[in-house]
Amino acid sequence: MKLQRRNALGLVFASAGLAMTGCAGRQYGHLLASDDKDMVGSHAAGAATWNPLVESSVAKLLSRCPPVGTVASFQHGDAAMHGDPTMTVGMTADPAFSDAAYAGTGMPGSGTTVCFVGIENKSAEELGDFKDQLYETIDSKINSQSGYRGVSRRMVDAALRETRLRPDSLFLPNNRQLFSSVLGRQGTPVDYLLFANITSGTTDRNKSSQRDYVLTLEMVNVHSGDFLKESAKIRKGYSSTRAGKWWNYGLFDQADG
Amino acid sequence: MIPHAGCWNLLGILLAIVPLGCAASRNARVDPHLAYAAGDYATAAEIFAAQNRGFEKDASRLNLAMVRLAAGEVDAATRDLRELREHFDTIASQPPLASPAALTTDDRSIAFRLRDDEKVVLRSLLTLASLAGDGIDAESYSLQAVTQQQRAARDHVSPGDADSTSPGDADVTAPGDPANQVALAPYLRGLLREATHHDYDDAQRAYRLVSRIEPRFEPIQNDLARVQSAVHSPPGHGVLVVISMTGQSPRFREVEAETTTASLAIASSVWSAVIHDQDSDDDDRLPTVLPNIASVKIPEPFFPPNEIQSVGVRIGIDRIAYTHPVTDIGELLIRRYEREKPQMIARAVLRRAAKEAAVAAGAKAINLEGSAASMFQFAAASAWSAAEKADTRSWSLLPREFQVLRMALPVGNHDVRMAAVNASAVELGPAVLDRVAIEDGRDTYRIVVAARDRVEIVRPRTVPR
Repeated sequence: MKLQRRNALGLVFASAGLAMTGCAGRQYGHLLASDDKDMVGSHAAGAATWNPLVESSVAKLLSRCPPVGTVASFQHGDAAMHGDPTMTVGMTADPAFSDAAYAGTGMPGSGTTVCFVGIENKSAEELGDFKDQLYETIDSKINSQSGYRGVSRRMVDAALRETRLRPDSLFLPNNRQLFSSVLGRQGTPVDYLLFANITSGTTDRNKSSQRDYVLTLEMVNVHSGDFLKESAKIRKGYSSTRAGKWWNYGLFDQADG
Repeated sequence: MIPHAGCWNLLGILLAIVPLGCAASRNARVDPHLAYAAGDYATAAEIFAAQNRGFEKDASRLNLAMVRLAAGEVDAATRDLRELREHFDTIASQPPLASPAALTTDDRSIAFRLRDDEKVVLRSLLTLASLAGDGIDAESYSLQAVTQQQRAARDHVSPGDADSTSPGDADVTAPGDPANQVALAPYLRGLLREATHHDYDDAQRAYRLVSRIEPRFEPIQNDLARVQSAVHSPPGHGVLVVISMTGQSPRFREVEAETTTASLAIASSVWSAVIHDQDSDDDDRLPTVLPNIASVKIPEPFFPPNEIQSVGVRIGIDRIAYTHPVTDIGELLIRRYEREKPQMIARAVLRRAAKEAAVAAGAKAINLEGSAASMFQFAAASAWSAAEKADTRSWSLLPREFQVLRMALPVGNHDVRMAAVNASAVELGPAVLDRVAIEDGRDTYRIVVAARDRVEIVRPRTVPR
């Protein structure tokens, strides 16, 4: 009997069964080493986007405040970049943030208290579980910086709940004073309010697109209302094929047209 | 001596025709859906537990989880739902068009699976179970539900869709059809984010998505206005959120359906692929065209009779409000059924054709010819096909609708009275009384089951494993 000489039923079984299976498969996990690269998200920003943005923006913001007990003017961000070609850092140097502005306020002297109010997401993507992680990461970095003290998030939440103020309304002087006075009553006088803001800009070209992610940190002096602002940017390209990266951003500078 | 392949066919036919015995439980005549609707959770659980085997197993486990949740066994329900979430994540949402087991028996031999929207509902139920209990994992479950929905929407983008590579915008500009999505998932996410008092942007994003998926959900405009420019609740107030699982979702029954052009086209394409694979001088080769099949057995959804429209919530003496439907499970199911019906019929047609071909090959194997062969083929094929049953398995204890009511109340204890009402706001059954403690600036949740004419509050209780 020839190998191909199958009976009718067996033929149907073999063809149909092999052609169409209905199993999604199992999932497996593994631990990453500390030097493993972050995974780059295929449809949205991920660890490879947010982690360097946070590192950069926090470092730049805190570097503009002079160390405890020194007299120095704020540096400009470009000088403090770490040479990452994918990242640019923009800064807004406010002359009001000179040492003279802090005379008599005790800021940013020893134990400067920074209240991280929260992250506002104005980008085209939902941050999902990254939002709370970004908050904790930024808060921890500020807290671990010598000369700065953070305010517990639980106290921030309690103050927001008690005052019924929206985070975005804290830019108004009266609201800011009310909020900081509530924190003060709880035993945590505040010197700065810190706001984080995430924005994005998308450029589409046929089936490819580029999205620029900007994380902006804004520190507002509760006493004077002066502010200091830092931002970091990462650009990402999205394509439907793996070759899209070279096709759009290859040797011949195709991205510009 | 090795028997001819046709003899194996005959043996297969006989085995497939022989009906399998089934054990009857003492509650075999009781409809567990009626028991559930009447609040007799012990009986409903007993029946579904008895069905927890064979091809009914996974559907029964889902229904059992619903019973446990309604009965207040929140920990057990959560455990079941989590196990089922893991299980169904390993099974593709769409059934295969043809599989060996389904071709010899019927569609019930295909593994029971949840469709994409049902997987979102499962995660939303985990959120509700958490909110009924300690609420610790509610945020995580709600995020899982939203993420699952985004992933499914992304997966459904056709290759030619111009938006297919737009990054990360599945939340508000999802390419998948919003009409097939579950608005409950982003709504729960919005409620939870709004209650943080600092994530109004997340809440706004979630409520916008709800408004896009379910534009008929009236309260969403107030919700959107609130998170855009106001606050969670006025000073000295908290929020009561009532989430009702209202009515009963459609169930399935077996019907004879006529074959349609669309379904025959699908079946023919599979059949042609099989024919193409045959050896031209094979004596047992299949007919080149599908046999003429007029009708096949398929499942058809039907709505259990139900009068309930919503749940009336009375606070104190003079304040009454009603829950509003945020997700219509029945509508989602019917739309999905209409979408999948051609494939369902095509599978049945292919099965019938395969069985007829197998019977013909069997008759040839035992050297039957002429009228004897015709009679044998007719009798065997008819008997084999008569043994088929339509696949009527479903997650049948899902509610017809998920409904919600959000109301700000002054801080303190409030007497709340809840009753199932019909379209004329007439109470259908006994009301349930509850005392709700409202905390300043916080949400207080009440998850209720209103399957027919009575309202049952999910009151967590610990049950030993």
